[in-house]
Amino acid sequence: MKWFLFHRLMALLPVLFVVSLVVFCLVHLAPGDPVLVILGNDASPQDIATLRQQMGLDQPLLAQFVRWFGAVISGDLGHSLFLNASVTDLFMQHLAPTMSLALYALAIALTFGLAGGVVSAWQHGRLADRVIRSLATFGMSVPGFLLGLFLIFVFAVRLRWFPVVGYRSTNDDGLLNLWYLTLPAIALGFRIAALISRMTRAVMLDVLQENYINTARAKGVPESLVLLRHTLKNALIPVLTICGESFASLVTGTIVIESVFGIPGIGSLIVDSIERRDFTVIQGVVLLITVCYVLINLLVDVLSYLADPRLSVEGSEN
Amino acid sequence: MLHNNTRLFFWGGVLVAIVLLSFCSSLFSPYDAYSIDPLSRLKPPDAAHWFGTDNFGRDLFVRVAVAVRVSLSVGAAVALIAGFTGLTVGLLCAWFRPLDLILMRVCDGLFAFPSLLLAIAIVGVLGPNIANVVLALSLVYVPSIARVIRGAAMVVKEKNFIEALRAQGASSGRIIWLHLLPNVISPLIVQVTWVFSVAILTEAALSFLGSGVPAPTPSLGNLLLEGKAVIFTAWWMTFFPGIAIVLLILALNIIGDDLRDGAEPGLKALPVRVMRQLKKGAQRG
Repeated sequence: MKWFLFHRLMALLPVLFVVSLVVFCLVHLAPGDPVLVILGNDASPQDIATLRQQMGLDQPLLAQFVRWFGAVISGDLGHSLFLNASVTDLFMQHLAPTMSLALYALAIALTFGLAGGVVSAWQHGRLADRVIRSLATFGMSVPGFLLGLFLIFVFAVRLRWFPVVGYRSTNDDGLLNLWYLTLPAIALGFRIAALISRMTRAVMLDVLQENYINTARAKGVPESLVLLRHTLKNALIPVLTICGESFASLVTGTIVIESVFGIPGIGSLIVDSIERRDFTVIQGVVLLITVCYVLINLLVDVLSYLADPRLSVEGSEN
Repeated sequence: MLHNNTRLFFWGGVLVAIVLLSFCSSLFSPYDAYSIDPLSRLKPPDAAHWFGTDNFGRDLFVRVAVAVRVSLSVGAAVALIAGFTGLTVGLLCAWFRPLDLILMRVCDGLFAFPSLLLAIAIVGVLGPNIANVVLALSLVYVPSIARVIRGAAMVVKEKNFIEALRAQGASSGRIIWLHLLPNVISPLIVQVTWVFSVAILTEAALSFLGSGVPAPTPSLGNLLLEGKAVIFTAWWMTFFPGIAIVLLILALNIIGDDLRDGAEPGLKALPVRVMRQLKKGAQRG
């Protein structure tokens, strides 16, 4: 276990280094001078020179990278060019809506994905199976924002069951928070539900062929127990992997979904920063999210290892 | 098998129909995608305007057709550029060990980003226009192609016939060009089809966020963005672009799945194939 963890952590270092290099280069790709963006086009040459020196832009690129990288390692992602706040503070302020949306979506995806997969495997080849599989194929081809617009149109504009857009903090009212987040969470979770149900169905059908399932049935174990206890358990590790990898879809999905539903989360922060051309915020947020993504994948690896030690053999080969 | 073939033909037909309709839209409709007609703004669908008109009075049918054309072109450009670059990087990495160490680290790093996030950041920093969208998406999808090609080429590299060729004194260039390349074509095709459909989806998401194809050029994403603003009054502005994108992606995904089954018949057994496929699916986000 120790070695497994050590290897995985060591493999992360070059990845994180390249990630930060790419993020650093991003801002230096930008056409135009960030100093002119801040001061406007009619700034005096003196002001420009002073600010450039303050921001360290007069130094060679390599020196700038070393300085920036050192600051990042010590947890300082810099200040917003436009708002009077540090990037880390801005990130934390916008984190709550995104987190609750992502967790809610994951909960919906797990519930419906697992249920769909189990029913699909149980009713293999029958009508219910076909309906669920078509829904899953459909779910993987519909972009989340389109589904979001559809849900708004049907459930908010026509039926008026849910609010059209907006967000309520959990501090005000937990239930209200859930009510506002339901449509966005469905739009976000549908695709992952589709993935999970396809995966669950495939693994369960595979396991149902095993001899020990025959044994269980021959012993007279009720079919529901065979399905849920003997079969479903084996499907859980691949589902765990999917959940970890879905983090990418959740994060990038929230960016778009938040803009559909007007939720003030990380996605809105990114989109607003791009409109304002607030480079340090874009840089910092992209870096933070990617590091989270890398770490969550590591966590999933470790969890799958703990759940099924057989995987460690494959793990050490990689 | 017959069932699979009918399915393939059906969705292939849908794809061809969409492509033909989008490229020959001028045969069906006299309107121009950019000419503004303030008197007939936000008209619901009728005999003259099949899909209705938008908030500038432009004919939506023609705009959706042009948007499909734009999306297909972006997808094709990205698939070509990323496919070619990924192929080159993958082959070189498989053959030259020192290059492998450097280039694959870079690919791992790029691969670690959620793809839409990296694309948004690049387009956001460079400024929204079609060239930058193509550039960003190509950069985002090169690593996944390079990895697959490298893996496939590594397998071939270990085969005996390659060793025999080296013993005969064949140059690296000759082996890569004449012997590695033909053996990685089928995984390349599978990956490129996949990139084609994901690039269309990602472009739509980018344009929907306003950092993709800029107005007035229609794209499936920015038509939906315009539709969102008038969702209370003009359902057709979301409905038709939405249908177009869903049909297009469904057709591409189903054809892609069948291609993959054809290209890797050995992997048909569950759950390995399904797991690979689904893993890829999860990364598409």
